Amino acid sequence: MSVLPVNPAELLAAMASGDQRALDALYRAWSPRVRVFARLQLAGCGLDAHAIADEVTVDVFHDVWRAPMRYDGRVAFGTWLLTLARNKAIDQIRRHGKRQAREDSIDRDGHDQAQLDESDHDPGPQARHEGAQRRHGILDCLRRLRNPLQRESLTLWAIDDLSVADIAQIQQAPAGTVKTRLFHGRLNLRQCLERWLVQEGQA
Amino acid sequence: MTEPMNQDDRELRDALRAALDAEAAAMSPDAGLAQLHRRLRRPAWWRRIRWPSLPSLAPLTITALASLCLVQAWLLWQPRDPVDQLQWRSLPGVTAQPAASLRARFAPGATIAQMNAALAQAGAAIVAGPLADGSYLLDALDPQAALRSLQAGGITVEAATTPSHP
Repeated sequence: MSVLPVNPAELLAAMASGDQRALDALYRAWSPRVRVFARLQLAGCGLDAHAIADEVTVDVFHDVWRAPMRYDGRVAFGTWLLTLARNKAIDQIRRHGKRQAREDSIDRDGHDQAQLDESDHDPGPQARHEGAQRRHGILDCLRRLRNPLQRESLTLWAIDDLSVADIAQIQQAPAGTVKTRLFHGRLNLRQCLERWLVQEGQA
Repeated sequence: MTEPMNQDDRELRDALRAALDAEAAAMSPDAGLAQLHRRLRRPAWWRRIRWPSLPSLAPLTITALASLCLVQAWLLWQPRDPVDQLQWRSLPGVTAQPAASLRARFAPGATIAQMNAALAQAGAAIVAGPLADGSYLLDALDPQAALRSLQAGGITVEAATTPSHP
């Protein structure tokens, strides 16, 4: 059995020739990141984010398998893959008629306050380490950002070290708009984290 | 290319990235892979249609073709009304020109009437002309008699039989 390459471009070329092992390798390497991104995309839209994110992830890689050479290398592979995931997630939200968050908050940057719902907040009784609790808190705050475009910008900013230009490409928005989303998203995230730390008695 | 950022932003991004990485690491990389494989195995809709196989279609196809041949043969052997018989008709305006047997050149001052009279007397008719040298190709039932008649006439400058009619 030959050793599979890890370079996405090489895996895609192998997939184009019908090598399903290349798809498996690509899936194992990238699906967790796609799934995390999709879950955050679907957070707060009133749907079962976990189940639909799983579906989105499978959809994305199914599309990649059907036309692997659609990736032309003009952008980083991660950027391209997350763009597919974003479009699939938006399709799912539209299909389920739950677009309220995305549609209603057309860039109300700076006016959203991430609010922490105490009754809903559960840092996890299983979380034994402070670091794990903090990570949980950060993700919780990220999910609670009211503006989904801020949440998306922050996720992309952190998930794969994407530049503002890359994020602008994915969101199909001007770079200035992305910077604004990032600025206010960071602001709201910090405020949420401060409240969370106060609640946890760590401040 | 990443943009320059201050220390607070960097710390926030690192914390966020660590949280996202931890979330991703907690997931099984094989989660959903079986579902993907099932979807890949599911054939396209046109493959899911149960087309009859070619061998099973063979008797039906052969019977249909044989029936068609029999019907065609029966139609061919049917007696027909003479009116329906195929008839060859010449197309208007397309008539074969008779071969020229003579070549004659008339005097430059000869009138049409004089030419017609000479041709009628010789029993000849114009087939083609005037050619580049002013001559005409003629046809006559008796080329030699026609040649003599034309040569005897006063308006013919030059007359001769064509090579195919010496």
